[in-house]
Amino acid sequence: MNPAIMIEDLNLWIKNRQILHNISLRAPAYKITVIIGPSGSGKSTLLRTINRLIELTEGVRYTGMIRVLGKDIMDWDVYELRRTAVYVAQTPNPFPHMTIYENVAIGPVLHDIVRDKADLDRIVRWALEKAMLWDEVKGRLDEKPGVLSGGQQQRLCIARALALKPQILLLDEPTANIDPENTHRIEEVLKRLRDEMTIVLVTHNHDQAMRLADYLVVIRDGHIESSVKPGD
Amino acid sequence: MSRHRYFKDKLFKIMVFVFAMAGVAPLFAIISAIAVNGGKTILSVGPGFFYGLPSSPLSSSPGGIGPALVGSLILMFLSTIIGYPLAFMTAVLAVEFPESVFGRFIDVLVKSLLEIPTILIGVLVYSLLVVPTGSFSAWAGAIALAIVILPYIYTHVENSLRSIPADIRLASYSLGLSRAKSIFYVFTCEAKRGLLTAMLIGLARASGETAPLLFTIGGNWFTYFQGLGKPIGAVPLLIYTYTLTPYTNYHEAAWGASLVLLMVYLSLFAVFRRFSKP
Amino acid sequence: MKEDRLFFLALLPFGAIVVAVFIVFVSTLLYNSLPIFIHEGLMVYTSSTWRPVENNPEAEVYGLLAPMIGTLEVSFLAIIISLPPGLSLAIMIEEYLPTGLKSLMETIIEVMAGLPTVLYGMWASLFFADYLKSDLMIPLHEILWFIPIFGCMPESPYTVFTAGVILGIMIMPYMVGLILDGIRQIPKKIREACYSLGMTKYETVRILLRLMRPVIIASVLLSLGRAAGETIAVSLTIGNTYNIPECLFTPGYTISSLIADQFGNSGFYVYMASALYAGGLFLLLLGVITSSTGLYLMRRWKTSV
Repeated sequence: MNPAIMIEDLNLWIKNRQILHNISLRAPAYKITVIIGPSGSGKSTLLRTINRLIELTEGVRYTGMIRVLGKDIMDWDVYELRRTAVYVAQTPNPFPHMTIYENVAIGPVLHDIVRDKADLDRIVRWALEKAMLWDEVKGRLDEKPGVLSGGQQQRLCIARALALKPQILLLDEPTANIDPENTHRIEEVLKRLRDEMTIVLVTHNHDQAMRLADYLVVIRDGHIESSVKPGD
Repeated sequence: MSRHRYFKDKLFKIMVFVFAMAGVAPLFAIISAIAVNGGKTILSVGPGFFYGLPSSPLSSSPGGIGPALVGSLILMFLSTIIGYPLAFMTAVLAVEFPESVFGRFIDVLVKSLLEIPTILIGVLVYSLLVVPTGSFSAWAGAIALAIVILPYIYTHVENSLRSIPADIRLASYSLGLSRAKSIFYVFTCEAKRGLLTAMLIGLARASGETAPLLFTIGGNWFTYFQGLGKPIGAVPLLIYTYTLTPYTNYHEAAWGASLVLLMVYLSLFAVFRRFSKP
Repeated sequence: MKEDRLFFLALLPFGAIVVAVFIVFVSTLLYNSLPIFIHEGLMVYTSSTWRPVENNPEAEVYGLLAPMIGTLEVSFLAIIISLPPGLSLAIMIEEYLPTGLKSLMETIIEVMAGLPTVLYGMWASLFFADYLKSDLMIPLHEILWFIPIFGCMPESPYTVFTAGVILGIMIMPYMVGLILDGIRQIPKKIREACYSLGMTKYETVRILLRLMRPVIIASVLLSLGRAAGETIAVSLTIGNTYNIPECLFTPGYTISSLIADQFGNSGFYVYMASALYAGGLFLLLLGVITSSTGLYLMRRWKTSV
């Protein structure tokens, strides 16, 4: 079975400082791959390189090969790529001046993958249900995200990503600033999503890694230390 | 602590406050003088002041400023229609593409428009638009005004766009949205307030500027709007022209018109303030 | 990325319009000034004769020296009038006032800064000028007559002095904004250091002021540029008379008020308009020099703090 993401010999420099050294990694489809490592080890950078978000930073240069769903990322249309492999940031960043509904809806609307309003309503509801947020917000879809707690906002961001029906979800320490109750919820969400998409998750929490990982990649100082399948 | 130091400290504080109060006192003097004298005029003429026509120089009545009022509104409207889109697009260019040489160049250029004396802008528009067409016109005035207000609108839009937090930008790009879509759908929504107040700034400036109008609109006080290519009046120009005459009734009209202009300015300012506070 | 490229190209025309306006303006200014330079050379800036003659272009003589001096006199006077209150307001707002009053004062200053200049001018012309003459100019003349600038008896209330005072009132809020911007760049820890050494507010402010000297100079320069270009309020208060003002209490011209006053006349003569454009060139140059120097000083100071 082809891996969803294949990285070979990735070396990356930001402003002439090397951040990633000889990274090689395979993320199998429909599995959760967890990348674990201490802060500053380059995990975020690695994640953002996969869907070319890193290109928004100045002074970035890299060599090596990255294939997403079998195609070299340079061959992808970058917006399609980012839609297919959606990145969710560490700190929740919903659009503060849009309503909860609009936050989830804007992705599908602008990528023109919606037929009509009824279709959009369905997608929004589906995304919020998948993110296990629907019951909590269904009565207040026209309120601003500011009324939600941190954990709820993070799930909103996940819903926003899911609305695009991505094939890959790239999550950057999704529960780093979230309380235990919501952390548990979000982990539940991710476990259930595994059947429908590939998940790559970055964390520095070993317990979380153990709970979620189908495959575990350990990274330190921009180097891969080991990659295992837990349970071996 | 020695009495000497204490005394100097107190003295300094008093001096600072006295000078500071002296600095803002003129504002209140001006507002009260305009309120009193302008109020007198408007009360003596009645509501006809706002829609009536001017009276002859030596008559006892100040007459009305109707055409000038309408003219001002038209000019404010026109100049904002011309100036705002131009300011918005160039601000987007400068903020979203700071790597480009052109983007940085435009930023410097627009900001240096602020340094050109407004009388020069009026005179140059005269030479470029009024002379070839042979007539003063509302167009010429609107264009001159648009150039004058452009940098003010630009600066405000620029600040609003720049103040969008980096993680919001990241969120938009993470969803695979292109720059164009991010700007026109997401960022404008996030910066909505700033973009609206920028328009208010443009309107406020356009309502009060006089020098750009001196040689472009011709000062038509007696007839209402005759067409974009014809001369038109405006309240600030009326005030200026009337003040220069030796006629008392025209001076009274000038006070009345000043009160109107003051009210327009303060209202726009208040609305602006209301919308600026989160 | 192609969509981004297209987007950039779509924005270019708007930028191009701005550039075009700029280029057209500067070149029109130069082009319209040319005739007077051909007619008189640089004498237009050094002579103080203003002789419009109908039907005899050769005999026309236009010298801008008097209004140039007028511009400088009025602007300097404005700075002298506006600096003490402006500086005091900035200090008061930043160092003395609690938050509520601070924003109130800032709002008042903003209102003043945006107030249409024609209102300042008409108030001065129809109201304030008379008081200025009787309560300030005449006493000054009577006490300080031996100083040349106060040496003449004020006849009309519309003089260089009047224009300078009004201009000073008008640019003060602008100056306050600039100085405040500078004060706020000073790191808090400097003030903290002063207070923890037991200094009084006065002593602390003195240190801050010394630190801020480049900011004050830059603010003065930028305000000077702004003041020189102001037309309406000056034109309503300066008396619009052509002479070199040796004494402040006489009427005069600034370049901008000359343009406002005489441009309408210029159609009757051949070279007058061109002379006025040459005056505009002077104003532009003055503005460019003061603002670029001022901005440079500001920027350099900000990076040094």
